[in-house]
Amino acid sequence: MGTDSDYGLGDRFLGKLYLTGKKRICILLYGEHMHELSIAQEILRMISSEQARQGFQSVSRIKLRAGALSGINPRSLQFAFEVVRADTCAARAEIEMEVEPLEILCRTCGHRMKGEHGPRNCPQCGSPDVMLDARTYFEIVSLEVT
Amino acid sequence: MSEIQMRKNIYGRNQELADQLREQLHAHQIMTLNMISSPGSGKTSIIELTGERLKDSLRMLVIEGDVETERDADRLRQRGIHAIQIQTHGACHLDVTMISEKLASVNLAQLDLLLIENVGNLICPTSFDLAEDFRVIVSSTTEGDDKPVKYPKAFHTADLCLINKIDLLPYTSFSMEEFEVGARRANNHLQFFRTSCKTSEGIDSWCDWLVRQWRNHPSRISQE
Repeated sequence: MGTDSDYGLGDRFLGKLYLTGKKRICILLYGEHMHELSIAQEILRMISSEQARQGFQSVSRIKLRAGALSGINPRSLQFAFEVVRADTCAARAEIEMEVEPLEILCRTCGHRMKGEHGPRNCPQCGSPDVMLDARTYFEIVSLEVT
Repeated sequence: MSEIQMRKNIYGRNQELADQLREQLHAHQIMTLNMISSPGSGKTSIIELTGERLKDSLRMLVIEGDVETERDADRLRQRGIHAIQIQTHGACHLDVTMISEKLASVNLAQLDLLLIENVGNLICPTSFDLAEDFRVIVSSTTEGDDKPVKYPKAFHTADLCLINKIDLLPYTSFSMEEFEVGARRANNHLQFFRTSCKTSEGIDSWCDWLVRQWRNHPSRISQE
């Protein structure tokens, strides 16, 4: 039995939705609540205070930007957002999320490599002093509104 | 159709509230630690031994985060350690509002050290500042030496790393070198302690570190 998706209703998160081999559906109530749900709720809260300031009617696109270590999975966020956005001005909004690539930096020669599974030593100078160079930020860049 | 520029930090509200709480804790010269690990790494056992060793030197409170049950807080209370339990009922992490709520009924003037044991999880808790001065990652030898490369953010955002259950090293294929190389790659400022709650190895060094940090804590120095 594998986890198929998370299951929620309104602002209440209920649990994980499991599909068995014979497609019988089983919902484990109060399963692990993914943190993307808290984040989706926070995004909605920020949009609604922006709406109070700017007075737009609805949001059609939300542009987000994240550091490589923001801790946010775009698919989980998309799912969580679909669960919480009903009956809000963002009920039909698309999420567009840009994530910075993860980079490894050699602290000896400054060489940069993409991806977390780089070699143990710098391929350029051989130094073992290589480190993850990634940021943890997550921000709303802009909203497309009508 | 028009585009509104926002450039606003989504973690901003938690961050603001965390900064406010940190200020309040510092006004009472309280040092706070947020302990993060996967379930079963030995956080509660480490806190039990820490509480027993520090009971004559620091006034300590533990906030325990778990999905369900009061078990961990009860375990600590049985050893005479002050503990408050948060049950998240499904949520995968603690956020700063849960900490503030619990602290509202605590007399902060009677406190030196606040230890927060987060929900056992190496992912979600790493995104939420709980007003801590130090973030501690606990990783045990039975979990394998690949945790730093598999969960880089947990190590990247930590200040301290306790490698626990070192008494079990002979029975595992855990490589200390592999672990430390991975952890340093995620965070080259990380400070390591090797501990065992069965033999108590390393616990004294960790407790000495806590007392030393508390004595030199900026909030104390600035008020003396």
